[in-house]
Amino acid sequence: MSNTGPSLAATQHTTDRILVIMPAFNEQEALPATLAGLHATALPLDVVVIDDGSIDDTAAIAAANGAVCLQLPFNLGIGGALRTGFRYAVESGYRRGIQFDADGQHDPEQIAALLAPLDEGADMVVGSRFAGAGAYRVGRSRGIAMNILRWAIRRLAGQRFTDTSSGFRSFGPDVLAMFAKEYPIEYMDSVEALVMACRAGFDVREIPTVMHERSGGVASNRSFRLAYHYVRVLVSLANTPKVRRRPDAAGAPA
Amino acid sequence: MSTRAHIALAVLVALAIFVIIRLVRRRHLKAKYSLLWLTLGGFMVVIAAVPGLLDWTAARLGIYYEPTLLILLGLALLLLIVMHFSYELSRMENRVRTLAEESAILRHRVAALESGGSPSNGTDGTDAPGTAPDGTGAIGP
Repeated sequence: MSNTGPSLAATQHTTDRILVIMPAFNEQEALPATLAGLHATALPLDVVVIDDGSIDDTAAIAAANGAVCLQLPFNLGIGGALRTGFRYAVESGYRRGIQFDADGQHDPEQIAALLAPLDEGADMVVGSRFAGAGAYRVGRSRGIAMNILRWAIRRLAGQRFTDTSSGFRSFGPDVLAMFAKEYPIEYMDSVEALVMACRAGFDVREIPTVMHERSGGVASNRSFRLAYHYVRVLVSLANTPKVRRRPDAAGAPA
Repeated sequence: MSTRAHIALAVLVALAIFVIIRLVRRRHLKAKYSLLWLTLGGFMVVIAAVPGLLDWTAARLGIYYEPTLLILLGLALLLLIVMHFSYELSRMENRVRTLAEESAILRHRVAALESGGSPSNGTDGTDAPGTAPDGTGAIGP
């Protein structure tokens, strides 16, 4: 961590707290409830909402509901929004981050469970929809697609994951530092990020979580677009370098 | 190739080089890109200036219809130039993205400073008085 330490604004305040990183694109309807849900937990959470070029009042509503709001000048896509959040986390000196959806599909009550493995030495934890808890269902073609990806990822990551595209994750300081510098930018970023972390030698774990169905709106998955991204992800996964980026155990902070 | 074709080629090449140099002088074209095109131009000058060269090379390479060689070389060079553009474009997109991210963070810090708060999330008492509890992002205990 010595070379990737917080560059500015690190305070006792931020090192002890947990940053919830929440990308938001036109989420003014869902934001107040989502932020209120985070409010209600007993955890020391700060929230940063990254407004990814919304055309509604996302930014104002985020600020009014007690979140820091970072406004991107134009739409970068979820990967860019997340990297902005990671960078903000590192610059502000946070040592723990949570990736959390603005649309209300994640349950704030499960954040504690997502953080627990970090205390036991994990670098990154994925909340899985399919590892047992809950009854989240996806369509058939999507299920097949996810199976293929799961197989490819098992080969590349050398580890089995039941839910590779879950956007409910927690990160320790070293993973935050890596993602602040380099994070996959395109659709299905979460899959690539998972493989990146595994291939960098980080301790990545998975825990079962329950997720709500999307409250409003339609998941934007038209089949051609999905197919294109599918092939693209498989190609870029195959090209993910295996680089040990994890600091030695001796040098790693507790 | 016939003499007429050579004259046409020479005129075209001269015109292209003239346009490139003009664009560079007016700073409409970065010198590094102009180099690419001038190389292509120089190449064509040689072909236009030495009438027998293309036919001779084609014969050596076993190409029966000489103009194919010209088209082949042109395609190869254009491909290289296009690849170079893809490379430049990727690099540029990366930089634009990074700038956008940076600007979002800086915008927040400037707004926090202007409202009299701390640019950080700091609320640990060492910051300037008057740090508003809202706008810090803190929602836990």
